[in-house]
Amino acid sequence: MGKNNFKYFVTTAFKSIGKNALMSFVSAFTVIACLLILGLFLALGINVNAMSQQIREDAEIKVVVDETYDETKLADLTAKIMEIDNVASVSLVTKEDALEYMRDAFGEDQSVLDGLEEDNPFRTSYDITMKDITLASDTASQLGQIEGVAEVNNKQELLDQIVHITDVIRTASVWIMVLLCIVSIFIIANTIKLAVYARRKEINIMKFVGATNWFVRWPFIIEGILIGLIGGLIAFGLISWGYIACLDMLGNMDLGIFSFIPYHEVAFLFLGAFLGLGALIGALGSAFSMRKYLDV
Amino acid sequence: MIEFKDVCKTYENGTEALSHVSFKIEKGEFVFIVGPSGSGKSTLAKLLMYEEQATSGDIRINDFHVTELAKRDVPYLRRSMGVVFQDFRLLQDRTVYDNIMFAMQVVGATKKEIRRRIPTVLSAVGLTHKARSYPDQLSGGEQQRVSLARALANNPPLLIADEPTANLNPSTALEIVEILEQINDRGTTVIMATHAKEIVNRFQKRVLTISDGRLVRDCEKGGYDDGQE
Ligand SMILES: Nc1ncnc2c1ncn2[C@@H]1O[C@H](COP(=O)(O)OP(=O)(O)OP(=O)(O)O)[C@@H](O)[C@H]1O
Ligand SMILES: [Mg+2]
Repeated sequence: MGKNNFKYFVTTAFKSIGKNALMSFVSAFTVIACLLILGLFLALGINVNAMSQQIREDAEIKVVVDETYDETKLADLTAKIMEIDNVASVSLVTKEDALEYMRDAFGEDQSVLDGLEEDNPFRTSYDITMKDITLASDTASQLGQIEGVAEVNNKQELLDQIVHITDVIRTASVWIMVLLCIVSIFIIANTIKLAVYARRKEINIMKFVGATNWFVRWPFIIEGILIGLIGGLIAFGLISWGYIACLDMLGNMDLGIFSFIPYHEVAFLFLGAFLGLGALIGALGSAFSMRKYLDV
Repeated sequence: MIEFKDVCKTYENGTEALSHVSFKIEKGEFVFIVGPSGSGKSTLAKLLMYEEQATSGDIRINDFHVTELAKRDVPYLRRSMGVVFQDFRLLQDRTVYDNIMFAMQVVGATKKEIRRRIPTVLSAVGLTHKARSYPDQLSGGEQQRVSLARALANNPPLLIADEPTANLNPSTALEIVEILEQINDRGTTVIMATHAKEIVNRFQKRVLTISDGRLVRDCEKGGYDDGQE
């Protein structure tokens, strides 16, 4: 494909889109719909992933000591916990420590906690970190069997739940997306078919003056890719707008430890994915049409 | 240059359009293909242009073994010939100049080649002053001259015209064939299918007569009915 030819192909493709404006618009629209679903999933997926990552990182197991347990034997308990293979470190949080934390957390309002020293409502507990986080459930159940342990709080369950929800969202969006992609490909194929029909006279002339098959095809392939790219760009604009709007809305909400991934960190991923997939859908659509309607 | 050996063409619906046709045409000849309507003239032209393929037999055009042509070589066979049709086949939304340019762009001509060549072919058909006109601003004869110029644009050694004068009045038709004769004088082989008796009789070229799909006469320098018993 020489430079001259390339210019010719692209100009021809643009003219054809102009002549075929309505169908081109409809095609771009289906591409946009397909990509928006993808974008929705990507946005959700990326954030949920980051969330599980953060949860994993500070994945500790909290063990609450039975209130009836003799406080003088805490050293025994600590030793027993340390015996478990997967335990990396153990730190004791006494009732007094817990109250102290609370005071710090309350800051200026700590006076409401006055007097609690006499009748401390907190319970003694251990914060335990693990060598291998994936074994968290096993470790948790081993901890539960130790005498004097009243409760084991394992964040693994929360993690599992998040993973499960992500899976459901992923499966659903993948299928919807695949379906929409197929629809987009067919609609683009149909648009290209109309474009071929509109230019059948030109194609006939090209044929008898000796144009190669590819010379005839390129403008149509490029037309399909352009429609895909236009759809991709518009979808990128929409998803950017949506993402920023969501951050504005959710940003003020306190979600505890978790914060959303800022827009500038996902923008390139979206742009790349949208343009890439848009172009691919367009190319597939026109290739499909070429096979059927343009055997020169 | 062109050789048909025992060529048959049966269309998919069973119509036998050509049967056992054999002939040779040398470089630089001017040949009329004549015969009644439905006799197979257009079919013969289409076999030459590779718009249809022979059912059996052997066709050679220049270095191309047409009956054993690979698909990817078809465009190159077509570049070795200029073609002209009864209905001109011009693009209505482009000027005369752009119509000819289109044919050159399609085979990858450079801008420079295009700028040089178009004035030459336009003057060969006497249309230099109409370069910026659109086809619907031209008479039938002028339109056919544009399509002739387009056929010549890539300087092919062979020109095939299927009833190029059928839509034209007799004097305009005569002009077109005169231009074809001039083109032939400059060395291009010309093959023209027609049933215009007066023209064939007037120019006294080689005449191949087809009747009912068979080549019934092959007459050097003859008239429409020459050689008939
Ligand atoms: N595409 C086709 N499919 C089936 N039959 C065809 C096709 N084209 C031509 N024929 C038949 O083949 C025969 C020869 O047709 P052809 O067009 O070659 O005749 P012709 O000599 O060019 O006639 P005319 O002088 O009217 O142009 C006719 O019987 C015609 O009906
Ligand atoms: Mg005919």
